[in-house]
Amino acid sequence: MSEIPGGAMSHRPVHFLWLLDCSGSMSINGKIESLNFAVREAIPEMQRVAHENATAQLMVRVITFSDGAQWHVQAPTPIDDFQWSDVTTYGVTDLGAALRLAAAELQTPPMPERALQPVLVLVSDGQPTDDWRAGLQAVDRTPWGRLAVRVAIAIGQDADIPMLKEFLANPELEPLQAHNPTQLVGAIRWASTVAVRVASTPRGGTSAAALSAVPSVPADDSADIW
Amino acid sequence: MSTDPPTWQVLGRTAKPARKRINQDCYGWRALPGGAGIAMAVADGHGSAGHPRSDTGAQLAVAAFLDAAVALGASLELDLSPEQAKIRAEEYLPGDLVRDWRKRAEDDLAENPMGEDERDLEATPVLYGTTLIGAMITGQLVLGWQIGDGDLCLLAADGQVSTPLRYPLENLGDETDSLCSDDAQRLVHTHCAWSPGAEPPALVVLSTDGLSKSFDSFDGYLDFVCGVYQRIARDGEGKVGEDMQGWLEQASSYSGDDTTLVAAWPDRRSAGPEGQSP
Repeated sequence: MSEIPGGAMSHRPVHFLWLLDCSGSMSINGKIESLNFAVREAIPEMQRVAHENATAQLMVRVITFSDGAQWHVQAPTPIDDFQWSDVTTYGVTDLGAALRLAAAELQTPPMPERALQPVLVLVSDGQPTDDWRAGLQAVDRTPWGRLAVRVAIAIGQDADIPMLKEFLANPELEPLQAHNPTQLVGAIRWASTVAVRVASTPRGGTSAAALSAVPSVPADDSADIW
Repeated sequence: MSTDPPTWQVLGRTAKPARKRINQDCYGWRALPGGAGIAMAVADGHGSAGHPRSDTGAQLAVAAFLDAAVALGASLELDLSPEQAKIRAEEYLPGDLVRDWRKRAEDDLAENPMGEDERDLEATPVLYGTTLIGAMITGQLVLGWQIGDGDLCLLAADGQVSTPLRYPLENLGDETDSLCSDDAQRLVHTHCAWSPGAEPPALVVLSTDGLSKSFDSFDGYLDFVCGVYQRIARDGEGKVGEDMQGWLEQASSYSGDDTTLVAAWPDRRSAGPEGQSP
């Protein structure tokens, strides 16, 4: 066979975006330490899932929000090269700013037309302090935001469940709830593997209904600390 | 159907990723009556759990399109004016196509009732969901129809390449319009160019989205189409036909999707009266 004509080929990208609440309340009872641990632990699992479907290229980015929002990892980073550096807490819960930051990346360009569905994972323990609905509308107005696989993780009893459900934009989906470090590890692992598997399979080999399945996280509420 | 030799050479190939059990794409072509030209199509069955018969749906779509195109070609012989031909192409064929495809799906379902594993699924036509791209080329007409993703690419004799049915941002990710959509007829895009006396396209390529999405950029796909034309001229269609299967397999390993191409170019030799996916 002669060399194929045309431009360079590559696997289709799956853009995975963490939206992490780093407000002051996340410093209470070890929440932020648990979050850092959970994400770090999830990376090998994400790599494993990505290798299971080698036709997709998993690219990871991270936004944190507190007083405003900022990129913790701005460049789309191949999961095999992704290394976690701990996030820290301060300030309030400007989720709207984070969603607007995400929305700017969910246009084409910069998103390539050939990409697979992006994944948005929102983790929060409290009530947003800015106009989060405007941010969510900004995401929903983007072509890729409407298509995105969305997962929401509520940490503790003070998390704004109605807001997280609105973010999910699917009445069949519920936020995952974590009331202790073990549950948070389980929720993060589930979000970063099942959601990636759903998004990275071209034309639905894995059903999106998998997202509505309840993850197997320990339900022992005697361990709850949040 | 006439067996008069067409004035078009045709090459069709399809490939699936190694991990997939079946290929849900389909292609086919047919000479128009009296050697007036050629009709060709590719279809991409959706393949997801909600469309378990989409491989059949794609086959039915290609068959329905080729029948509709041949009927349109026959009507063009009856001194149809350019305006009438355009109306038929844009307004009547999409409706005929959608109705015929649905009828074929219903007939298939009647012959092969839903099994236990399909109990919770929507009934026809969703079971058979598929995209379709079709083209018909005569001495004076270049017509194209498309519902859903994939690409129709025309290469002019001067090397200019065009994709008249491409609507960027319309089918992002793996979302796509479908023949099984409630408003399928309205979702069919049509291209109709009438150019009496003009040179026909040097190459017409229809391909499912697994091909263009395997390239880093859409320009890379357009370069592929131009490259195919150059290889045909340089190495001959026999060599390109041999290589095309491997090229599509390579593309499907990147896109992760079934990958299908049918290409036609004017030639003295006959493509044969018809052809289809193996």
